[in-house]
Amino acid sequence: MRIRSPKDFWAGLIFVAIGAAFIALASQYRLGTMHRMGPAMFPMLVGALLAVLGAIIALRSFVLDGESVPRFYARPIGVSLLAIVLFGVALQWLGLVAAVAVLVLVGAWAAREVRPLETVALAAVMIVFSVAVFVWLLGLPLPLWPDM
Amino acid sequence: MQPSRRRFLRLTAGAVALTAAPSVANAQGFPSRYVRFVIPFPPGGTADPVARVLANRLSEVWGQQVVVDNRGGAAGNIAAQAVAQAEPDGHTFLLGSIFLATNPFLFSSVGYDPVTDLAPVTQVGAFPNLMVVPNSSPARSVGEFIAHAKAGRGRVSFASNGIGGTPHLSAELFKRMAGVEMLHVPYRGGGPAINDLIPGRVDVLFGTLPSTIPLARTGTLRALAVTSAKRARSAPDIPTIAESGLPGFELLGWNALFMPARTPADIIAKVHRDTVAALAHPAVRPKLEEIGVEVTTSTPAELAAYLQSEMAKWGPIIRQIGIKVD
Amino acid sequence: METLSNLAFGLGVALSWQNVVYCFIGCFLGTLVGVLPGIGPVATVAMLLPFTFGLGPAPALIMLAGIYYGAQYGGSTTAILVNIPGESSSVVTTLDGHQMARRGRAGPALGIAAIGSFVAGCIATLVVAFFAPPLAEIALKFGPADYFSLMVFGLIAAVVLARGSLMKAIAMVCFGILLGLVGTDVNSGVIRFAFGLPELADGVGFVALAMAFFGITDVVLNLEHKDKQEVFTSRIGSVLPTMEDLRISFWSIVRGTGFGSLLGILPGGGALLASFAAYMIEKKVAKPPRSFGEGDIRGVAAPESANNAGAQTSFIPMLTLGIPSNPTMALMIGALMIQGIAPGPQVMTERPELFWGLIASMWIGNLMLLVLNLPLVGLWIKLLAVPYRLLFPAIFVFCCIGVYTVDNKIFDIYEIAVLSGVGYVLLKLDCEPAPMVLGFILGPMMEENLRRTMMISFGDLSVFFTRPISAAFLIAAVALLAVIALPALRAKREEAMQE
Repeated sequence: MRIRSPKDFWAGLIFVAIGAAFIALASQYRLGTMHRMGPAMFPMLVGALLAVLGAIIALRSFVLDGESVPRFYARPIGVSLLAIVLFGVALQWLGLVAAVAVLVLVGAWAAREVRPLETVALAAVMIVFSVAVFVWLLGLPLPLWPDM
Repeated sequence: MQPSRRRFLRLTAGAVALTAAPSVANAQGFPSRYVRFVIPFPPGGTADPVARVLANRLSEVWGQQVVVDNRGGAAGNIAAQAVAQAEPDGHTFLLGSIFLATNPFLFSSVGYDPVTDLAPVTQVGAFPNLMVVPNSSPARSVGEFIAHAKAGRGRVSFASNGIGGTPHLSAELFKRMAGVEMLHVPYRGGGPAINDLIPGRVDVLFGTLPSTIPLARTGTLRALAVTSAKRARSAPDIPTIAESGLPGFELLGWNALFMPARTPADIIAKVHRDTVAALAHPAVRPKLEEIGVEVTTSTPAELAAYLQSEMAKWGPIIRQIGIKVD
Repeated sequence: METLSNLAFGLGVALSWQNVVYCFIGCFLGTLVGVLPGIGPVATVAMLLPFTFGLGPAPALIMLAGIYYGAQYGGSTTAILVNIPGESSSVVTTLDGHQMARRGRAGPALGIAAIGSFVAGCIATLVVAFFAPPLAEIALKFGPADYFSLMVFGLIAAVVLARGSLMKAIAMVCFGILLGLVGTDVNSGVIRFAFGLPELADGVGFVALAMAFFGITDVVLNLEHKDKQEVFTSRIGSVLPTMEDLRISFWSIVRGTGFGSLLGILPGGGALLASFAAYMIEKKVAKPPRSFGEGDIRGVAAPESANNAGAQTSFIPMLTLGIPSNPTMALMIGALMIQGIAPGPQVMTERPELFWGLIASMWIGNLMLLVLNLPLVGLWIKLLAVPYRLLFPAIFVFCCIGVYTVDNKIFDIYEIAVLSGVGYVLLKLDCEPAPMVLGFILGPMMEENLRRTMMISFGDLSVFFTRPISAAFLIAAVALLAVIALPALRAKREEAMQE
């Protein structure tokens, strides 16, 4: 039996997994009755619906023709996520200026072509802009520098 | 305040932040940079105007910006945790309230110890809750309401702004002391609760005074009593529940200033002096009283004792109701 | 007639120099805050509250109101330009608005958003002036059963937002609902699915979710295209909507305004429901040729008109009864109380200059916003001409700072990272984010109202059918289901018959 629609197959599987996960997690809460529903009832119902839909989508993928899974490129998503995480770390320990710098300098590498000088200039512009708009104009409590 | 002055203050804050002088940990140079006033709720609640009015005045007095930092989440735990872990150099405040006393019993762990991790400074204000019923309700007094509830045998419902909040706790205390059964219908915040109360879909709400008194005054809702032991200064015509047939009934919502535990004593003393003065200022006090908050101050020791007494009072009740959040 | 003279009186109040200046400040700040993802009108109004103490109640309210409806204008800008909904009500605008931008029609998209919002604002202001009290009464009639049925209708309609597979759209709605259930359960107080993290006790943040699924993933997917050099076609069309555009959009604007005006009065979710109901109806009702999902200008005109009309009418419960329909209104009530004014029905009679001055200022504010935003369109288009390799890090910066400003939590930034990862996988597999977002917002409300209805009626299910509003929505939901399912069924039958 050939999977005729890989995209749908994998999507279906993921939905089944998510639905099942929520059902499992919800089981620790009280179910209650139909007319005094506990915190577990609704998530279980929706989780079940999701799992069923996922199963249908996955099974249908054996019958209907569909697209194959597109290629997953590691660099754009990987670098982007790394940059965002580093931003969070930097903001916590080093302040806004460092965090914006890190985000721009690291994040730029997510693209195919990176021009280092341009990136540094962009980082500088973004720092000035962020500080001007968020801290000076709007007065938000963002730490600018590390607490030394 | 003119917008130009506002802009000036913002620029000052920015400039000061940029120069980032290391904070001075003694009362002499305090405050030496901007102060972070952490509010445990997202913008839009009752606590917000209170904090902002006070912060505004303190900024004027100290010449340093007191920045309000809204850190909502987990019924106030996130904010309290943040302040408990902050540098004890005096530049971080917490606007604490009754959640400090009740959360330890609602949550399996809160992430901080309200007694040992926070240093009390002064109480800021107190406000009772207001027992309101729809205009269509047969009850015109607390006594009539109790009779109505007893006759209803569990079919009378009370609204709340969430599990563990003061409207919920007030109602539970009321149920206990009046000996009535009522169904609890929780809402996400006071606004939606009021929406169902006005047309009478629920029967009573022990709402916070600031959010309900305007509606009571305009006749949209009927106020029966306040939950404090003494009549509210902003509503002296409304009786207390205690004098309406349930002597000893008392619930008071309160706001108070706290700082991280190891903050030096002289800084605490200075903040205490200045805050008490600010709260008495003619630009501050009337505004707070307009929204129903009675300005009340106390010494650090008095506040510490008050916190302990609140915990001792609400702990057993919460355990008895059996609410567990996680 | 009396209303007209009141309006004239209000206009006089609103046109005083002080009020005009504060109206402008409010609108300007509102637009700015609406454009910036993350920080919204609530936080801005809260921050400016102390500064209103020195003003009289009229300029204070006028300024704060300007911030609120100004933010609606700004929210559509990022939705169109970079696919990030600045406010939850702009989610729907991303569908066609951003597609238009990609095809070089960002100018007309932004322009029609501004024009539609202006027209809607003016008409809605009239609605507020003439129909405020009866509309407020209608809002009070909505009980939990009615809300539940409205949500059911809304969720079924959510699948209409799907551009592709229907089943996957429904699945995404379910996924959205489950994500929305993370956090504190209102009815029992229990914190669900939070893995013991206090930061998740109040749920997955909408802002983080929107930025992750609409902003970051969009950027990543763009970066992957090795053959396409630029994301936005360099062939820029007209800067503003053409006469043809305006002609096509006319009825969309009217319909959007209608929906917005009605749904805006409902507390909680009114504006969001309005924009997406408008889009949904537009998709079915607009004259062919239709290209919804590919950049149909009516897909921008309708929701934008709806959310601005909704923003104006959401003042009604506050002005007439003193009940806040959303947190911003609650803050404005606070501002009034601090000034010594108790909001409620008597404000109209005791302080007419306040009531009518505010309403008249909404007109002026909308005009100012139009004048402010239209010239900016040219500026925004220039922004799109920036090479993508420079633009996308800027998008990252705004998303990350934006999400932090919501609650000052570093956790939210990590949240975006995780959600972006999930979003990336799902979007690669052609699962659409728009239905998920609607499930995220409507699902928990549906559960809340279902359980609340059951509580209040003591387990009596018939209440859903005996209450007229609830019954109406449920019937409409069933009808909608039939309308959606029938063509699909027929198509399948034809497919089967051909084989």
